[in-house]
Amino acid sequence: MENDKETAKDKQMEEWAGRLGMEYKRPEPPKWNPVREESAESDTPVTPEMPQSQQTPPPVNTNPPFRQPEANLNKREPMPPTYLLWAVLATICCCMPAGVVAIVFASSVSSRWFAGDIEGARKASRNAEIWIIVSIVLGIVWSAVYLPISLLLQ
Amino acid sequence: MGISARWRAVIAVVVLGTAGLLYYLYDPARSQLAPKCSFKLLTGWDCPGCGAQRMVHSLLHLDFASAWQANPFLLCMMPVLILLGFSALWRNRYPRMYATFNSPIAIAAVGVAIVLWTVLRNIF
Repeated sequence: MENDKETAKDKQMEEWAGRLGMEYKRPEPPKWNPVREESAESDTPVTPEMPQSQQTPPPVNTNPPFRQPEANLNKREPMPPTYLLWAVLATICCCMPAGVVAIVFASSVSSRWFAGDIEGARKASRNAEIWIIVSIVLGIVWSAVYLPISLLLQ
Repeated sequence: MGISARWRAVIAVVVLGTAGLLYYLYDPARSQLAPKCSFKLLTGWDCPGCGAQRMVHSLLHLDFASAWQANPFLLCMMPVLILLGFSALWRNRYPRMYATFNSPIAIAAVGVAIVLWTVLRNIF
């Protein structure tokens, strides 16, 4: 029962990861033992003259096959980041007008991604990043300009 | 980019710790050095984040009443911001949470809430 629940949850998570174009990382991935594989490979060429009956059979790997993450990365790319946290922080703490533009672009990232427009989502993500940087730089420049003035006026 | 995850964590902890200590020791309402809001100085209106420094100062002193007075919206947004950061950091582990928080509707809701809060705080 427990096991069924776990796999159902994993399947659901995999589905959501798939919507984001990602590979779902299971909480406890199957352990892949490289030592075992090496010994299985080295056993066969060293003892060729031994009779087949005496040779120990290669260890059977009972674990599910190890999935190469690189192979999946080449096939598809994940949803570009929306930078929503940074956009909100930039809006609230640095410069409101530029931050609002960043939030609009952040929302456009996911709406375009879920509509299937990968190129548009990537562009929107880049734009959101640019506007967040603009907002933070404006905030820092303002502080740098304002601080000496405020000290002089004191 | 080229920085490993461990160093990024160290830098984040050092920066946050220094900022937290400064805001704990100095009251931004009285200190001349605390940066002032450009939006407020240029337009005379409160921006959505005005009061954020006072709020952090009050929060660090566990004075929730004056934190609420400084910026109630930001105080309500704190858990949301923490969840947002968590979902972005653990995107591979909790893809559903990431998808929910970054859905167009959720982002639009956050944007509309910020704009509404700005308008309302300047009317009342």
